[in-house]
Amino acid sequence: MTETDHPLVQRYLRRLRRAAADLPAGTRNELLDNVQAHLAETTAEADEAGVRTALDELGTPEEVAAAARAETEPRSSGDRLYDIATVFILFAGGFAVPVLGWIAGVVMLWNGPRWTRGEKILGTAALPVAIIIPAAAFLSSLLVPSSSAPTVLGPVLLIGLAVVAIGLVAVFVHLLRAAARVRT
Amino acid sequence: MFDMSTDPPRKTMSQLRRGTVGYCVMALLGRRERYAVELVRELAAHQALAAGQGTIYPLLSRLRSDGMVATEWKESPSGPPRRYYSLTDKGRASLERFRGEWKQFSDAVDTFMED
Repeated sequence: MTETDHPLVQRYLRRLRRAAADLPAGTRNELLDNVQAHLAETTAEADEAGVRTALDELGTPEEVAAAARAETEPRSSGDRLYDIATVFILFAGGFAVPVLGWIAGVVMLWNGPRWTRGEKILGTAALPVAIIIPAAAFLSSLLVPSSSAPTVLGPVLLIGLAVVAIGLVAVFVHLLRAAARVRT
Repeated sequence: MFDMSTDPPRKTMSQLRRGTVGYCVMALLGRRERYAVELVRELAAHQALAAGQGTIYPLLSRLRSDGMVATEWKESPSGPPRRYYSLTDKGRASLERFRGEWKQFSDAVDTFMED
């Protein structure tokens, strides 16, 4: 997008980045993306005067950042409780009530407004994948003649389990953090 | 907390704007979907509603994260791809409720504001 390379546009975006420095990273990045896309379109094929008009119509970077700040509200404690309960039930519910507990967690996850579609898919897939992969590995190990790889299989399974466990914890933490970020 | 005594009309209007401009966005999108630049231009054309086109983007982000509007990137006939905004079912329901209440509210205020 060479259009946004205009020095005035560059300067505007730098000022906006500075003015929005105190906003949560997600909010700031989305704002910058939106404004950048806007300028790419409004200043394309514009002469100097056209670029100035486009920037004037946008409002000052400080006004734009202030509008974003006004939309940034701290999460209510009720929202936070819902998010934590969801992630907890998603991962531990199945141990309390097999299958149904997990399904409850998945339903809560998909009803949660603070997760993106990708995060919901990730959260839904995490536990089944964590169960299927080791199960498949174990079953395939039964098929391999025990004499051919007796020394390798033990450590491999162990490492595999460790990777799956770390992956699960990572998804767990990611979902909690994703819900906590302030998205506007 | 804000101090009403410093500049009452300005503060009050800013609060009112904050509560209502989102519904103006939704009303526009209720007629048909629009791409970002088109949407912010139409709104910012009314100076009473917004200080500038750029101040509307944070509002669009909030409406999106609240599930009131949905967005989709589409190729543009000229230039870079455009982000299109459309009203969701949830947004439509919310808009309809607001429409009814706003009519009553503004009629009531008008009754008192007439000289």
